[in-house]
Amino acid sequence: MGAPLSQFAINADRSEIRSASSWLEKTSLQYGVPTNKALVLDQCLDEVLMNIVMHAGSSATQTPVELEFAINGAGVGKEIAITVSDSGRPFNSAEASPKPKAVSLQEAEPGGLGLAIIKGLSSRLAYEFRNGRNFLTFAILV
Amino acid sequence: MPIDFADKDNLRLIMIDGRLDSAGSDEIAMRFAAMSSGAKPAVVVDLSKVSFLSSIGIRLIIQNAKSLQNKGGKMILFVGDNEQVSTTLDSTGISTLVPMFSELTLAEQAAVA
Repeated sequence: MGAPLSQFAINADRSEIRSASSWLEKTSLQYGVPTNKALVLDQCLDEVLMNIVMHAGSSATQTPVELEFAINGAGVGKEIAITVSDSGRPFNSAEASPKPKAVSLQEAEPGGLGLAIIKGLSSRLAYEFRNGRNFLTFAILV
Repeated sequence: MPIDFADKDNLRLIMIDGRLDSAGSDEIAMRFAAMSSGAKPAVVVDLSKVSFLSSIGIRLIIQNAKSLQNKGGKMILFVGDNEQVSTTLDSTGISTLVPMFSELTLAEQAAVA
């Protein structure tokens, strides 16, 4: 895997998610990521960060959430990979199953869609828990 | 984040413009709820100018669609040629619960049907 080309950090706070999006937008532009792909990355990043803010527990707020941007491979298999690490409770998004889709509006629960979006949009999802931190990498092919 | 509405006969068209992430959703939540609260039984939500639709934004749509349905009303989504929005709605299965159209005329017809 390629070394990160850019890194950023935010607090695990709802109010800071947009700054992470701005960082990703600038970085994507800097490295020539096509606009439609940058939007997909932005969407996945937003969902990953919201999951941390909403579900990772109080330990997630004790250290910054760290973000890394990397480009792996070349040609057909070239991918942009974003790694998000946090100190929240261990949670393997790569193996967790999204909620089953509701069959009626009345049955539909307002939450639980973030994971479905991340899994639907990314071409690769990888997770490890290391040194007390979750490391989730999502990647898309460009 | 801009949100506005226009009424025609028994249909209300709600227009949302901008980024419907957590911050955007928080910004419009109360106004969206008020606008789709049943003043008109048929509501079309115009998402064609939404630049970004997150699960938090979808949550808002579901909540208000359900609330309207419970009052005997119906919510329909108009997405135009907004691929980001339509793909997100399709991938989450929401488009089968709250119908989505790329043509405004069809969306309005479905709302009042």
